[in-house]
Amino acid sequence: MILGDSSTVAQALQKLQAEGKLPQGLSCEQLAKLSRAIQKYSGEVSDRIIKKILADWKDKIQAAQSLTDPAAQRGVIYDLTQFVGNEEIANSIRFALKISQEVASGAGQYLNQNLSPEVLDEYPALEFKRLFDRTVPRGLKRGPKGALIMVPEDNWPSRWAAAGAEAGDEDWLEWEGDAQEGRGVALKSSGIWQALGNGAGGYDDTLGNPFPPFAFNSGFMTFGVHRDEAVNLGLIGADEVAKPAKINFAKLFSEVAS
Amino acid sequence: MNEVSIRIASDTATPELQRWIGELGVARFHGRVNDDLVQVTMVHLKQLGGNVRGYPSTGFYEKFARGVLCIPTENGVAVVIPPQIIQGRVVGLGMRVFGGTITPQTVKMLAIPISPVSYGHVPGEFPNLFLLKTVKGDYLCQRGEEVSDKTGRIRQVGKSGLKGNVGRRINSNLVFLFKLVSSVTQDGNRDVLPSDEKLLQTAIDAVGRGLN
Repeated sequence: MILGDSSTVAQALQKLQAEGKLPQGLSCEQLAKLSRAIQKYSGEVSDRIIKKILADWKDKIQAAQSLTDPAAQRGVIYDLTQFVGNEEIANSIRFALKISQEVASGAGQYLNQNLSPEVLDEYPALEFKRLFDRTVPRGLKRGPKGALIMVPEDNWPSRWAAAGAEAGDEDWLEWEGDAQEGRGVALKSSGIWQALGNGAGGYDDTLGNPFPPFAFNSGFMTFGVHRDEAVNLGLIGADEVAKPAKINFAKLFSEVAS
Repeated sequence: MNEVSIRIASDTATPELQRWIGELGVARFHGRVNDDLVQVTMVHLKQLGGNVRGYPSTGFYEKFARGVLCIPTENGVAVVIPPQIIQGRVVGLGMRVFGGTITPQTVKMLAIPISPVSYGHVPGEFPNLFLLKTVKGDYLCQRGEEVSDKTGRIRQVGKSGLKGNVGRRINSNLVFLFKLVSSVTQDGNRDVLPSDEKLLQTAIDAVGRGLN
């Protein structure tokens, strides 16, 4: 076992391509974008988040303009100038970059889970469960005196059920266990992953990708489910060939913000 | 030393694993151990959690945990932990694992956060910082109060509009946020990565499970 091996992700990807482990037709340019996306962040996601931040400002300005009471108007404008002038904008941008980077890391793992036929064969399914703790987990909200209040319609089991309904296949199972410690299991090829990222059920905090993080500040991740377990769960036959996710390379390798 | 990879190869693994790699071939061996090795490394990084001073977590290790990959090599597999962008800089785990000396690249001095308020931040994020030179070193500080240009009265910085940790500045008239140093030497910590034994056992279990 050697620590500190000097091979980079880019070299590893080039090697995978040379060995035919990546899909045919993946150009050098796409490969370069993949490497940059993994090591930096997705420009599309970053751009989208920053636009959302700007839209929020626009809404606040419009709200101030629509007020008729001068005192109330001044109050809103004062809040706005404080917002613009202090570090919240820096925090917003930093938050956008943080999310973008998490998405880029997720993209790397997504490809790692799907591109190799051998990995697919051994781990045909994924389980979706919590890895990272959150102060206010999704499905809960802060109430009076800081108490946490349940919001069942916002938790992951609810989202999982809504995404399953839109998945267009039966390659997923009902949520197991409770909202925070339980899990959802589906084949890698199921449409439930993209539906989850698309906010199926009307959720507007999702990021649009078929891999974690599916939504802002999510602590849930996906982990491979071994073939034996997937067979026992009835998701796949013992000798059935596992299918990869339908990867949208054009979307995944959007231009990277420099 | 931005990227850290742990290689489990036929020339370095246990005899049992060497035999499996030889029998299965690298591609199948990779397929069998890929997700389990990624998961065990992610969980390990996640468990590292907070910092020695008890400051609010910045999610440092979570960033790396999200990026863990397992890739095939010539004669085995490598668990790769790619570098991440932190405060606009490319940061790898190598420095944490192997240790070393950090020197400033684009500025004259390194600004080391010495307060829960500044931990996870850079000086540029704090307005009106000033340099305070003492016998114990140079510090970047911030006044907890300032004189209003309009009224001439003393007002507390951050009383309105500033939320979260920054709001704590009003509790003190002078806040020491950063210490300036010319370099920092960090000890290596192998425990940042899962142990060799843990990774090998995970690989052996994954290979064995596929044979049931």
